[in-house]
Amino acid sequence: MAFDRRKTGRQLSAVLCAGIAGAALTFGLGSVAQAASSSSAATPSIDDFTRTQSDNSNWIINAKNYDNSRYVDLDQITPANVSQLKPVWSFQISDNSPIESAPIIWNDTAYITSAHDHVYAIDVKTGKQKWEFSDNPHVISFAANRGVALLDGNVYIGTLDGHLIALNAETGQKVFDVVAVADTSNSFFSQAPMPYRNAAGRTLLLENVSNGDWGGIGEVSAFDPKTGKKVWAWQTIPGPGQKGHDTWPGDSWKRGGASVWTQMALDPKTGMLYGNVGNPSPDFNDTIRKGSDLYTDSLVALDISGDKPKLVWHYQFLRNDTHDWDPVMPPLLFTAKFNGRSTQLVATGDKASNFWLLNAQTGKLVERLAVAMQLNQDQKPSLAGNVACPNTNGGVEYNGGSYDPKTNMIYLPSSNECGFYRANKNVLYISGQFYLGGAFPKFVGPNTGQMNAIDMSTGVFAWRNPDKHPMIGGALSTSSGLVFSGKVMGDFVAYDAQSGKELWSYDTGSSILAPPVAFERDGQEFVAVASGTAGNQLLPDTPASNKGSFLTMFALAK
Amino acid sequence: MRLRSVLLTGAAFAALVFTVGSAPARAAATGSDHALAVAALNDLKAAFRTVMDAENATATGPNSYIASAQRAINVLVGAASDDFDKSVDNPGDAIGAEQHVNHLLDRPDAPPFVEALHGIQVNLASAVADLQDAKKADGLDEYQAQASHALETLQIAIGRPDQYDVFGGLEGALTNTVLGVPDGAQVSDGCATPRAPGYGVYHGWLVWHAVAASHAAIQADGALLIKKEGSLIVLYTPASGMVQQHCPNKQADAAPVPGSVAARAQAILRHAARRSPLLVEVADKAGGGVSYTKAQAQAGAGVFAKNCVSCHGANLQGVAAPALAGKDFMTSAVKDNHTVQMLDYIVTQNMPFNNPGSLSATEYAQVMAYLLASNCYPASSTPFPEQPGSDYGTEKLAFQHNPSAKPNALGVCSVD
Repeated sequence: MAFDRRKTGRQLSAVLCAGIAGAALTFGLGSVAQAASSSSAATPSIDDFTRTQSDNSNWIINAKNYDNSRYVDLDQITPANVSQLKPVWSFQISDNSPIESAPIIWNDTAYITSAHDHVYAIDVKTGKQKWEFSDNPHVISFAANRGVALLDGNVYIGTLDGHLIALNAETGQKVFDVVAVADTSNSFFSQAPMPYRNAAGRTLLLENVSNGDWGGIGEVSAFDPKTGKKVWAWQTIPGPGQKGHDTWPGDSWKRGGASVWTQMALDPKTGMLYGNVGNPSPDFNDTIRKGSDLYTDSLVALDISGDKPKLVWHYQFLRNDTHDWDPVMPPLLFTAKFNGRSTQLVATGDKASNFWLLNAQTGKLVERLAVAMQLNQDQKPSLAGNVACPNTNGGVEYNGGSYDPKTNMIYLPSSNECGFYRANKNVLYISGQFYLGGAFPKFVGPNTGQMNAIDMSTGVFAWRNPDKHPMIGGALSTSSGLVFSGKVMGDFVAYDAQSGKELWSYDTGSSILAPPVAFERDGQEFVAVASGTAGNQLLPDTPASNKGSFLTMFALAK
Repeated sequence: MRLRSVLLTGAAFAALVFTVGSAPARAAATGSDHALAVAALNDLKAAFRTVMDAENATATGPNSYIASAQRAINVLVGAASDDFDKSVDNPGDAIGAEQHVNHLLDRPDAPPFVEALHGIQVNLASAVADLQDAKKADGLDEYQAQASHALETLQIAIGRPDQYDVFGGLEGALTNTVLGVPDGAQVSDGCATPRAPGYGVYHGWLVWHAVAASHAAIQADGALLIKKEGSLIVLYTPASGMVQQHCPNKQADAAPVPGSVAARAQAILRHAARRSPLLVEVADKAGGGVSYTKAQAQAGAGVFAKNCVSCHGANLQGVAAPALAGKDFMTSAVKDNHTVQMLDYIVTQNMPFNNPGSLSATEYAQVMAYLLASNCYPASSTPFPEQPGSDYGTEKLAFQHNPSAKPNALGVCSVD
């Protein structure tokens, strides 16, 4: 559609009173000591993105670092004192919706998004709103947003109607707003943009289109942060003449899906990008796309250091998927001594309940582990319908896990859910609607989950802690030996990283679908998590209404 | 409200023409008004198709897109224009849509189609400007954005038969005004009762088109009302109701019955001395697309509250899932050319999201009725079908201008 149809009038103007601004500034200066030169600026500079692990006072990438580890070197909150953890403030998110984003923390401000692309800038110290950007774009099928990026004075968000919008980080006023998808009828954005500077020194925003279950073709793309113009794109389905194109019969590739849904992992030294490519469409009926359907359900390694991305290797987890069992976990990139040899590894999970460990250089399989219930995985959905596990919400979901270099373990929530899958006889493409060739499966239980710890020196479980409900809240590990995660029923919990014992919990009053973050301010360690409605993760026993949507900030009681 | 086609159960099938898109293009710019309008419509449609074909193609470079934009410009402006580029071909006639429209407007009088033609002039110029920008686009995304602008304005210029004045565009003018009367056709007083095959015109407005009941195929695109009157089948134009208000001898019977197509067809049935198979067929076909009963909608509100509100919201405004009624919903449904059948497919095949297929056929029909009612479709005595046939519901979803409806600020009508 059109550039100029966007209603700017709905945007709430920023309210930034002088008092708060002043306080915020001094607050920010307090933490300059250990951070880099740009830490007093309104946003990080591109240099800050390569030193995130050592910067404990900010959290500027969705999963902490380019490697997606979601690990912080903070030890004030420990297994011994975590029982004293209390909420400091709770910010009510006015757009009560499924909240899937981790807050971005920069100096005095936390930025969180709601499902309908509202952006809230919140004073970290007081929990008071600085400004709100209310977008309310047209929703294609389900509303979800997984966060913003901060860079060069701007806040960037990709929206549900396929726009890339830059806001002034201090005021929330629009800097630019461009249509950034090719087909607005079936394409949108849900993931957080990711800033990156390539070998030639060009700064880019990586953001991938969400169109996989709607009959689009996925893309890994890079945009110019100054203008929002697309700089390059790598199509996840090979076009005519490209290698792998023959894995799609006829024209099936044209609506083949294969979106990259979540945060990719990046090695900034080499420019290698690791992205999980989603499932093929139509999701539940393969009659028109028999073949391996590359690069669906694959982890791809792209060299993006140059002008154009180059595919270095791919590993396909599931060939000819008919259950929407794509890998959606943000890949974890780390170097570990596996079986006695130090290797750069990339780990991910999929919705078929598998955990995968690959050699990051070669793409060769190192280890595979079933991390949740699996049943009838070789049976395709029939017209009459059949049961398979997981359903499309089970296995390892979009928040993934955390890698703790100290324990050399991956902490990974997973879900046991099964579904009654049914294929349709006729596959019908309706512009702007799901292109499924069937229906999303009926819930058939057992709707339980577990937190897993997987030892990265052996590839086997160190411990597993079962839960009464599916676990999709991601994981955060801290150097003091704690693992944090949120639950669909509303509890925010801390586990002992060594034993898996649940040490602390707090009921937020609404469903947690978002991953937690931790940082340090004025010598105090904070942990924060967002909560909201259950959305697609609605379970038969989820309360019909919640207390509202919140970003809650925790610290030890003083 | 529009009838796509009327099938006669008698010996033959048949279609009456209010729209004339399929008529052969005429190259002459000096023909009759009707011929000029038809030529302009063909050129506009050729331009639209050219841009659409480029959008649907999978090209490897920008050149084919740029050439398509220029081809569309060529057919819009004509060979005499400075914007015409001989190096690419012209998918229409040499005169161009713009010149056809200019010739039609080059007149001392002001028949009722003049307003629509002025609108077409503006939209046509805008489309040409958008296509010029598309040619200069930096990358495919920008090209598509500009081409989409052009398609939007071209679609408005082409218009639709069920609206007249400036809103109806060229299709509306061809359906509702004297522009739609072919050369040499029999023309009668539009306020008089049709006595013979031909066209009824009153002050430049086309009121009705009558054909012999034995006529082979009637294309009723855009007809507001179809009546069998003696040995004639009479199609009344969407403008007929408005025109008949101004007739010197206003006839109650001649005025279209208000309400849905089904309600109108039912009303005619009641008035008909003898039930003809044609009218029964009309009532059935018309009822298939958009009919529902008030009771169904009321029951549907309960089914919706139990199964759908957690994702779609208590006011159908959308929460985790999209809105299902109101301006945002309908704008996107219209843009994507969604039909009632497509909506029914999504509802019955994919919903509820976590438990698809779990409602009974009765409940699904009730939910459909509730959605139609919430989108301000008028209720009737024909229920929404529980077992829709393959030919039902080709009716496109559209904004309803239902005088009794009172939508809220979001454009949602309440069901009570």
